[in-house]
Amino acid sequence: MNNFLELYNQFVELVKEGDEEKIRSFLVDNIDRFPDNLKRDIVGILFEEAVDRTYDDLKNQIDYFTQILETKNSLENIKRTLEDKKREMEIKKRIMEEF
Amino acid sequence: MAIEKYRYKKQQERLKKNELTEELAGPSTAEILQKPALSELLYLALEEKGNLQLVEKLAGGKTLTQEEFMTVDNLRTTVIEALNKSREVIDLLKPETITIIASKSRNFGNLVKHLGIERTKSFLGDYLTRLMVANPDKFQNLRDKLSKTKEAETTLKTINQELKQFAENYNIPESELSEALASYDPAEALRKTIQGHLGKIDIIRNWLGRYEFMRNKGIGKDIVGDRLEKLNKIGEIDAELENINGYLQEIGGMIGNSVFVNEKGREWLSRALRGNTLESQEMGMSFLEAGKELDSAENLNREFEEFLSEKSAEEKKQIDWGNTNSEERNKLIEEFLNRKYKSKAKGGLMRLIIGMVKKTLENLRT
Repeated sequence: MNNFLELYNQFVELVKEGDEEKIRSFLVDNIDRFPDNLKRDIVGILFEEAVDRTYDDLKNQIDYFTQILETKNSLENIKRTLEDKKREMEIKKRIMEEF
Repeated sequence: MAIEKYRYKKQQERLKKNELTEELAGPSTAEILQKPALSELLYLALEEKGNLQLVEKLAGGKTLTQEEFMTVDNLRTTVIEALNKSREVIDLLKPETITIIASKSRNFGNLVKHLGIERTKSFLGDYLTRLMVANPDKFQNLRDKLSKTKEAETTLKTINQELKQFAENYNIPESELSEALASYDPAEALRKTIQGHLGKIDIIRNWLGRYEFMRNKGIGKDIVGDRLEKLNKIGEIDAELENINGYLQEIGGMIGNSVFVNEKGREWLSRALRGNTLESQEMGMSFLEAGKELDSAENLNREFEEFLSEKSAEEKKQIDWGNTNSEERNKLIEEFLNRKYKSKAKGGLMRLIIGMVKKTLENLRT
């Protein structure tokens, strides 16, 4: 049997087995046995998926860190405001005591 | 040909007037038809428009009618636009960007390792040009995601800088994250840690809600007025400050975890934020589903024989495969594939499957 027919039959068998990850690994591990037009499609399809994942990952990380940072900034702003108010109250108290 | 000459002359005149750059002008229709890599794109554009007859005529080198020539000439713009736009995307793909994308997918990462960045880019250039011709919306979506990914990288760098600054200001040590990463199941441990963080953030935000602060990000002083009015004793303010300091301490811990994480840790963090840890669950497209369209080589051959019999009956002439030339064989295989996959949407995966079937038939029938 020639090289590509063997490759094709192996691929069909893997599909029957029903393991998505094995199918992907098979395509990657055997990339050199595919003609260029099929190599191009395999590279392109896996690239599209990887871009989706990269984008989602970065977005998730930004959302996560932004939540943390926004909360931290809010706390720091309120802290500053409360400290200002406390200082103001302490000054008023001191003035009241002096008079 | 007269139309083509006229258009070429006009194009040259516009080039001289600098109305067009050579790149935008692109190859002429004649050049597209002569170069296999370009004519394939034209055929793809025609296929997408359902004009398979014209593809056959062009592939067979038959004379076109005036109307057909105009159709082909109009699609020249589609081909040139696809070439230019895919080049723009390829230009976005600097080696470091490809490395980042490759790090997010084991399979794509292994391909890049095996083929090398330049060869990967070359395949991607062809793939993206075809994607632009066959599915411009999907192409646009991919291009947008790539641009946003680059923006997100910059945003994340800025955020990291701010986190590092905070960690320095509060003298925050490395803690929970390294423990999570060292555990038996780091992804699960990290997922729990992050869920804990997000739960805590919710509690803090609820607490902040009494200052109506979260709804008015960044303009605290104006908004906290009402609440402040109610705090009339220094002791009350101290109690609030104690709460705030406690919360800042907790956030400091979360930030410390984020700042000290290494690249591997970032990957675990991504997985934890994604909400699952299994590679197979993270896949967007199903090769398995598309692969169900495949028959064994033996069945495929049998099906092709049936097609040849049907075709012979339709044409009332026995097709003798042994006496057909390569062009006729290719045409028959193409027709078989068009009939077999007529009702299927031709996305990237389906094109791969059809390509595999075609190559198998070519091997079986020679």
